[in-house]
Amino acid sequence: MMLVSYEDVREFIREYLSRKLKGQGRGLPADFSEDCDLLLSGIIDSLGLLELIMEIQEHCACEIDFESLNPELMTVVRPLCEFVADQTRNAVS
Amino acid sequence: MYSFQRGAEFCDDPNALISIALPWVLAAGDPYYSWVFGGKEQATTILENWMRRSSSEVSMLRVSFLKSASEVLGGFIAMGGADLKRARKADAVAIAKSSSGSTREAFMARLANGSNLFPPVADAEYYLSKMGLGSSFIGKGHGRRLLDQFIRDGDLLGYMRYRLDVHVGNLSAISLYEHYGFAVADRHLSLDGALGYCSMVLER
Repeated sequence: MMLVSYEDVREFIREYLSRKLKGQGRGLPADFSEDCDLLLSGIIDSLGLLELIMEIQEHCACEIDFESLNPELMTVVRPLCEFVADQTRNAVS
Repeated sequence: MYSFQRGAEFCDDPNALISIALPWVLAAGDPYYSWVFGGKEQATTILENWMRRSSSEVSMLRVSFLKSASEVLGGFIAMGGADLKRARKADAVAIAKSSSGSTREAFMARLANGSNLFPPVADAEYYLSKMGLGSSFIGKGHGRRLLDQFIRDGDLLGYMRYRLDVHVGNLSAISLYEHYGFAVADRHLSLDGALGYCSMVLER
């Protein structure tokens, strides 16, 4: 388990999505923000969500238990980053 | 006489009707559900859980039941494109939360294989997600009653374009939809070519 900050997760997600979308001939929308819902905005689909979770876990070098995260918020950048950062902080403290 | 009743209005606990609705919801979603979830048993378990969740595409609260007196003959699940997007998000999150390790990887491989099967539904389209009948009520003209009510509901909500996806091998359903005025808009195959679905559209 690696301690990751909110900013670190956010940057990781942004870079991962940019790379992923570039491979599909797309890019992050100009209005991409921390309030963006990645699924509802069409940036990722169901498969993309599973891939993103796996990538985040690999980045943090741990299996993150998302059970306690509100399902509505799981695909929104800010709460997702906050949750992951909290989880890694709690695990190493 | 026939009547329709939504799951939310049917009784205090719509989940008590899951055993009645689950067989036709699963049949309507198959072969995709059994294929993507790795078998009929797994699909049944997952669907049963989803039907209990109000946010799911197949929530019992979304089911419109066709009744004759007190007998439930079948029903359908329909929603607009924007609602469908939110419901599918909720189901995607449920999968993401519940799967892990090798189960998740196998599921992802199947999901990737089927990623072309269902084109996105536009916000302005009214989508027939599931439609079905109890096995003893098939072939008695009830399918048309279900479609009539689906269109009536969409009309009342102001929709003018109706969408559904159907397995290419389900010829009786395709024939019913075509007789009703739906036309095949697209055909899509899974990446390995093993599974195919048609998108059908009705404009009014």
